[in-house]
Amino acid sequence: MKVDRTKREKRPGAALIAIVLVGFLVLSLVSAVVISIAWNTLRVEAWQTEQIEKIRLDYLARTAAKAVTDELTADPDNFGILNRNGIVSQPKVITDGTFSATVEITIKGDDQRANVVAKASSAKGGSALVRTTIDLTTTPKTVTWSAGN
Amino acid sequence: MKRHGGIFVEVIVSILLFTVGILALTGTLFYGVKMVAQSREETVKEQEYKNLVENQILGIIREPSPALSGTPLAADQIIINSKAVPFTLYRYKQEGKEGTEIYLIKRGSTP
Repeated sequence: MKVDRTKREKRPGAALIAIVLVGFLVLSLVSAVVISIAWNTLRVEAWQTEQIEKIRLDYLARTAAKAVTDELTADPDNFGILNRNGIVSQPKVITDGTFSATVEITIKGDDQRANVVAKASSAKGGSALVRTTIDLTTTPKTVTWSAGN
Repeated sequence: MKRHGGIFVEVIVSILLFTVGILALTGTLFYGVKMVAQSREETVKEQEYKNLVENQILGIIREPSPALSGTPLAADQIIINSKAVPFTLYRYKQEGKEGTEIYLIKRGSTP
């Protein structure tokens, strides 16, 4: 910032004010950049937490579906005669430390095929759904996996 | 009466302030480089952990009785139409990092 020499000589504090103002401006810019970086870091961390929660529920649903699918593959009438209305499990609450999730299994089908739907939902509001379809007419029985609604 | 050495003191103070500033900047630079290096290591560790859990899931799906490396928690069961499906819950955690726990269910004997 250029300060007129005659003015500066008349007012000796003008240069100092200019320096202070420029310093203030630079510091404000640096602070804005730092705050922006911190804000973005917080956003990324929140996103990562959300992602790990999704993965956690998805893996729980996948492995729960696998356990029930194995039971059904071994004996299709293990849980009673399969029907299209569905056989629903009792909700299973899984807790460990601060983590808590509920796993629910629904089995639908007939004598040709069976559908196992495993739903894992957390107290935080997220959920994951995994479905297996067992072809009961083939030997060995084939299982098709799918995820989502 | 003239005061000798006034400018000398001013120069010394300004050099001192300048040095403090430069040291702070250098510190920031080194910290940044360190963070980048740490971040690389962290990403590799994270990926290895995810691969391990994925492999364990594949083991559960493909093998009849896979050996799992996670920590087994208490055995439990899911009740479907009054029939019990016994299982054991396994916990996985990335070493030294909180909030990375992942849980897998393995079909098992009745508790």
